[in-house]
Amino acid sequence: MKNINSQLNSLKNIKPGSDYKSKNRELLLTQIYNTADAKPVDFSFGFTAYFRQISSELVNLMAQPAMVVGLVLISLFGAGLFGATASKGTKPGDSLYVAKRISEKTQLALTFDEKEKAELRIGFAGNRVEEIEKVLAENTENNEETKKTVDNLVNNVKSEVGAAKTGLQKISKNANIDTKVTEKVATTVNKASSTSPSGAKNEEDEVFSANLGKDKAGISVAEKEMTEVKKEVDSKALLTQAKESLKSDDVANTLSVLEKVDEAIDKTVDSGEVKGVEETAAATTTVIK
Amino acid sequence: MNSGIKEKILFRKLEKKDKDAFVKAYDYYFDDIYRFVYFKVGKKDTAEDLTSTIFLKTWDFILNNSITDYKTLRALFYKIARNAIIDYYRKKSTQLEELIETFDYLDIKDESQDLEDKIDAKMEYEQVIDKIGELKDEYREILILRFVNELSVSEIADILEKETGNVRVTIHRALNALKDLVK
Repeated sequence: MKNINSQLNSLKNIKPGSDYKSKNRELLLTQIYNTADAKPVDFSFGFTAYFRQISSELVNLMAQPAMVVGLVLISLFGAGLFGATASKGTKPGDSLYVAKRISEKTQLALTFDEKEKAELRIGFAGNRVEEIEKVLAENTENNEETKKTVDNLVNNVKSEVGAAKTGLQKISKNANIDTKVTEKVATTVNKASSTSPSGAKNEEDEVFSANLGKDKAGISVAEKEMTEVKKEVDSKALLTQAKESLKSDDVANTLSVLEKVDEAIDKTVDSGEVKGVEETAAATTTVIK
Repeated sequence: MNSGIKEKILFRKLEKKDKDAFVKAYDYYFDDIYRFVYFKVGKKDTAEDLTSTIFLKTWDFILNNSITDYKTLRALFYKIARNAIIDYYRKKSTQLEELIETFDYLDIKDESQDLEDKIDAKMEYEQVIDKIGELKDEYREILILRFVNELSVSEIADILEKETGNVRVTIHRALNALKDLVK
């Protein structure tokens, strides 16, 4: 005995005779078209009716509990995502800057892996450097307010890198990596943190002049403000490198590369001259390659 | 276009007494209603007469009433069909004497089937047809609605004015009753 349901379904083959159906249709047509309209017929159907139906279906669908929960989740996370995207290029003073900082804090709060946290922090430090660059580029006059903003940002960079350093130390401790090498990494990152817009006084600013892709013209800019901006860009590049190195699975190799970068940077600091930057850049590039 | 949406558009149009929409509804539901009636009355001629009456009655109902209380257009047609069948038996004052006639509906289209299979299949289907006529009206009706005309349980509950749980139980019992008869 085959499945009784499918057998029942086969009874669909029972249909009225086609002759009877068409004759009856004609009869029905005559009768209904002879009846008076109870109300004038609205002929405004077609797309509008379809659209109206679709929209009401949509409202019904959205009223389902699962859909409501889904929409709430989408709006929560969607708002976070769109907010983060929209606020990406903002700097202090912009309306969406707060959103950017909140988004960063949320990202940190939702990350539990120390390595990822360190990566994020280095990335955020890079963001701050980018912001310093923007603030300096837009406010060419060296007023108090700009200085204050930049100082704040620099402090932020320091605290982010400091936290990243702590995280890295924790990782290296756990992974039994040579403490010495880790210290070097930490020092490298730490140096990146001490970048300041009043950089002429700060030796470590020169570190970030280790320009990897810039042309000579860029380095030889005489004006102080412009040089500072440039330096920030360079420190940003270094931070990116630190982040990329962290991502690498070969931790030991990454650390040794960073150590060499560190040494190259130290050389530049010792020379203290802008001219020496070019050599450092070349050295750094070779090491990294 | 999705058939559910198509049906709802027809329903909205019929709320405004649209004649063309009713003709479309005729094409859409005629076979199903005819089949439903056929299994209720068991006679081809009676089923044809009743189906024509049902469609005229439905048009009359749409013209003179608001149909917004009905969930679906299909439910409206089935409800009117059920009432028309009840009226028919009331007038005749008889019970269903002659059950399902000999059907010649079975046309096995699968060319790959060999003769033996075809005969087996035909025997099995004929057995189901015969036995479904032996079921009590309530069971036969619910099996046709659910498994032949493929209405949802909630639609059936709406047409029969019963709870969905009740409908499920009846479907289950009806299937078991049919299986027992077919054994």
